Amino acid sequence: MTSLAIALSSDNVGVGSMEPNAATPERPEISDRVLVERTQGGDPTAFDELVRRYQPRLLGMLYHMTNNQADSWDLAMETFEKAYKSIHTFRLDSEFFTWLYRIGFNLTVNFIKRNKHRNNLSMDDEDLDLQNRSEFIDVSASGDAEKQSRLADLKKKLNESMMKLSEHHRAVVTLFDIQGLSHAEISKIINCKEETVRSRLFYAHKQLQKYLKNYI
Amino acid sequence: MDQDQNFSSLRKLLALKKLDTPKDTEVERFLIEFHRRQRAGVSVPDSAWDRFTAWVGDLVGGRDLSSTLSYVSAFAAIAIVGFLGLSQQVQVTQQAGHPYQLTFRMPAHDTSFAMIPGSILTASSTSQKQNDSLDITPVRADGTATRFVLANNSPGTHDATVAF
Repeated sequence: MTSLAIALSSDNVGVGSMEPNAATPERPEISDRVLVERTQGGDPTAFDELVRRYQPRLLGMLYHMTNNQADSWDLAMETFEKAYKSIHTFRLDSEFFTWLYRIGFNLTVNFIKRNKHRNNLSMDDEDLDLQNRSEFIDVSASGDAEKQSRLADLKKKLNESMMKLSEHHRAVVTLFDIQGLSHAEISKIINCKEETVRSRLFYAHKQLQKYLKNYI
Repeated sequence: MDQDQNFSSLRKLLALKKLDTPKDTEVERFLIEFHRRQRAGVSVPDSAWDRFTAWVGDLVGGRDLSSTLSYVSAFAAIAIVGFLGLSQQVQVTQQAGHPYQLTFRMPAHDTSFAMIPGSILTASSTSQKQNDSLDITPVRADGTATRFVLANNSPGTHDATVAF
């Protein structure tokens, strides 16, 4: 078992929550609903605020789905464009981020289907710089050459395993394990029942466990 | 079987992916590009027509939207013309103490004609006007003639059948 991976608790990284950034006393948080209403009323700066609020997390989801930085950037741009164009169709009784994620998810699934022939695995390119992240350096401070080698091997295997999953299984793993969304939120995003989300997650975990058995 | 416990090691491993984020998440640069596309006309809020076509597109479920709209437009045009034509000739009236009355008004000046074989007309049913008419009776090679009459079917004038 690779101790490098286990040493990293999921509590160490706070990218899972979908709650907007906490409001500061100087700048009270404006709710998504108000921003959407303003956008629908013709205020484009309100939509800019929504972009600022959700772009990093959306980009992260798309990146884990495509495993390609440029593609995820383009898809995020396309997602926000589509959201802006159809903002009038958004019903205020639902949550903006699930609606936005659903647009992004659908675009990404279509994109992946169109580009099945492409090999998105890019373990050796500059997309993956995990060992240079400060959080990880803290974890593996005592790392030596062997550990670094094992880490590189681990992240390669991890990404390979993720990309072996179907788009829908990869999506539930990304949204649940990496982005920290609930089953209910995921079911709204991928438009299926919560039971389906659970069963897909179970199947995906089983698959990943099989692919990564040497590391667990 | 506790799934979470089963997959706890795997989930800790997957937690590594949380650190694996794209390097370039620069939001302001993203917004600049977003605004540039908007200015270029790539991204503008949908007009009412765009929303209507999107709605129709959802209804037809992936079929060719342009051909569907063509059929819909043609049907709508026929329906409108039919409605307007009918509305001019149908009147709903009500007199005091009487129920509503539906009246189909056929304009007297309108004259409809039908070409009918003259053989089904008796000689007595033709008016004397035939003597004033141009004789265009086709002559067949066998010596017999095929006669046609121009019959006026207008209300009140149906007795004015002219044969030629």
